[in-house]
Amino acid sequence: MTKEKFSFRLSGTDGAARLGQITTPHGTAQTPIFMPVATQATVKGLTFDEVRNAGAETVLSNAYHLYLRPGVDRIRDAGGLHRFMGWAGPVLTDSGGYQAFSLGALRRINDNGILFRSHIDGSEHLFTPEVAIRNQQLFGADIIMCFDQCVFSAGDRSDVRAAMDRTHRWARVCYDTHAPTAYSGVQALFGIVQGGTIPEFRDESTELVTSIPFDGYAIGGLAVGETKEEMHRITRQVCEGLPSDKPRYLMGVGSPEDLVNGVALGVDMFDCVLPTRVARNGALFTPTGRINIANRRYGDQDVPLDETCDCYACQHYSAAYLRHLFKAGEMLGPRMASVHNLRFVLRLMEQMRDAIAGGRFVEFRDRFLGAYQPTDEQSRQTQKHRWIRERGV
Amino acid sequence: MKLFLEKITSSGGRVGRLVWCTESAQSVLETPLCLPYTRAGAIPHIVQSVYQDLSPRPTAAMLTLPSLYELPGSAVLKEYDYGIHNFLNMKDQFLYLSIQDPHCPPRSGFNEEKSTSVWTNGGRMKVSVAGYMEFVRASRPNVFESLCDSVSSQTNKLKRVRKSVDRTLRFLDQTLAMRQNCQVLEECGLLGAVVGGDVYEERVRSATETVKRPVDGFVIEGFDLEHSHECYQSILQSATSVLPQSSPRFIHGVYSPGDILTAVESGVDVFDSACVLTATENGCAFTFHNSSSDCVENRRENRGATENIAAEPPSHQIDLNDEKYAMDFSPLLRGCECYCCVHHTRAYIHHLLITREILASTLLMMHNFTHLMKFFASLRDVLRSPLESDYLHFKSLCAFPEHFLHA
Repeated sequence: MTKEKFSFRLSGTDGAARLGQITTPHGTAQTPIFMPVATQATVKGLTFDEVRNAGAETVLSNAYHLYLRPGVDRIRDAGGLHRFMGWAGPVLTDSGGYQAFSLGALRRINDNGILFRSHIDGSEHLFTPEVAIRNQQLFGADIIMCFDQCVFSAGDRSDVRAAMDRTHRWARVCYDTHAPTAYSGVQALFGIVQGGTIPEFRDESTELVTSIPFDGYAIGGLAVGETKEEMHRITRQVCEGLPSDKPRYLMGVGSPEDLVNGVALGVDMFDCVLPTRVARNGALFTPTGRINIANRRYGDQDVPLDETCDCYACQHYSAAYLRHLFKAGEMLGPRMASVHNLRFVLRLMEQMRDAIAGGRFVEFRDRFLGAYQPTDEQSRQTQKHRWIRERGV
Repeated sequence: MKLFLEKITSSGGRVGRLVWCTESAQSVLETPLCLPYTRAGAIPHIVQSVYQDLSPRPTAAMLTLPSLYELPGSAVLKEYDYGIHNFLNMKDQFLYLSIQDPHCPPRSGFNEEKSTSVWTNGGRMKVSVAGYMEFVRASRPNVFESLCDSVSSQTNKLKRVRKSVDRTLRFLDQTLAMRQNCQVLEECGLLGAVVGGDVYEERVRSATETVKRPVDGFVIEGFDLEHSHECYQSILQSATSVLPQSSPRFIHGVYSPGDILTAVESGVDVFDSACVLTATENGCAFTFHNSSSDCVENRRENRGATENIAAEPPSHQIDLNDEKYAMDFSPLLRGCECYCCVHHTRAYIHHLLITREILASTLLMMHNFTHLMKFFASLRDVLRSPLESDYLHFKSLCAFPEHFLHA
């Protein structure tokens, strides 16, 4: 680990698409970047070697889950989250606000914070902006997030307004908690722009959050059930208002087509559980769209699922064998599917970075989107709403 | 497939080489050998490179019929040129096919005169000699076990045990007859199954009769975690003492270091690694002694110190579910060079188990599998040593009371 402070350098653009590099005490990462999600200090089912070999440079962990298990003290005593989980590269932690809001049984939200019951054992906990920052400092992630109040974008106007106002107050508290400490500058703190899908609110939030000198800015409150058009519209709008010399992070996004569109709109950082989650259920990404490996047509496909893919699964196993593992209920099946999907997404990011560097991003985007058939809007929305109901994400 | 014995030690243990021919060349595996246990053709949870990194090529695996018979099944496998080797992407590996899955408790109550039952994902399926031969013809393993009716040691009705011996011999004869007329089947080695439960006379009868048939080796059936220790050795020897020296002897269901060594001393050559999965599923990591570093040859070569005896009292395994590991930032086993011990701590594994994360099984499998393979490598080392005391010293360090496994 070096004594580097956090920094971001924009090294090139191609239209609105941007190429850059993040530097942290635990190494560098190229942007645009996709960060696999290691919610509970593990990317579900994968060793960190497998995660790195798929091309990941940064992972994301969740402070809510880690706060409950194993707990802040245990991670601190292990020497921090990097040492605890065995990942030596950059780490970003989410503040846990969203999970406290959605997973835990809510007791009370007020200007102080969120009082909630753990979804594990019902014990009561209070998350305030100060607590959220303090926990993340102790975890030792390279990038930490402000504590914000979340609301579903379908909520009514006054709810969105109230959540936004509170988020702004908390952003200031988070900044004031973090800035005077020795962690500041070494651990980057990102602010989060909220405002639902209401353009005036988004403008207001962008202006206010960027008035605070955070190390980076995230676009929160999207990928929670709004339409693709709304998501693109808001992303474009907010990106146009964000400073160009700091990284832009679109939280919770997304599927391959979302990543390509996000990069086209000027986003630098993404995270999403989609690749690994759908993989565990047999849905694998290919250049022409998502397929389900359980489908009978793969039963005698003696060649790898995607001959252009260089992941471990495609280098070693045929589609028929992968399907066989799923049918047999062997965990190796979902694990290999996760490796494949992660590699697909991470390779997509590599290709995009290449294209931006070569000034051919638009051509790449058009070619990719031309071939890739996204999951239809109806099923996507159904699945999304079910996830939100069941798991809060 | 042929076994070449290098040495028979005074303890009775045999060291040797199993040689078989692939399309391209002759390949060799050293015995006593531990075949990686597989389900659906895969070592559970882990990728092949974990195994391949541990030992130089060639490699081997034990395939278990129940997880392959229904799916992929004969119909799919016969489309592949090299049968199951191709389907599993295990070309040039030594693949042995057993009738039952040693990880599951035996259920002999469903076997009949004309078939043995196996439990697939879809439920119970009856396997006749004809059905089994169709599967072997489609899959073409290097060696397969003859269809058998194996009763567990819990069965004490003499009539049932006799029947199992009779049926198994009949299945063997039918198999031999079908094999005679089929070149594909002739190219696969055939192992005769020695059954007979815990009845001494029946064991001897089964062994003696099976020896009369032209088989390439033997599987000593009927051992599992339930068998009692007292008659284990004598029953085992009642069978092995009858078998020809030069034939390889396979066994399933024998897993504690003490039991493995007893079996080796009784003349068994090939084992399986199903215990690795059992320990993993219980959240346990092997810690039993598995090093030969203090045997003469290694002392001379100065190969590492006696690592795992240092700080903690010796144990067979540790249960990472235990709260006491929550803040233990040491590796699962000091001195172990597996991926898990090099990169992770007991505290992390404990956390993964508590949060029911998939990675717990993956990492524990990597450790336990590596540990067991090292045990066998060390066993071969000490058996080869010119000093009998090396083997006895090794045995004294790793043979634990049986009850550890039943904890």
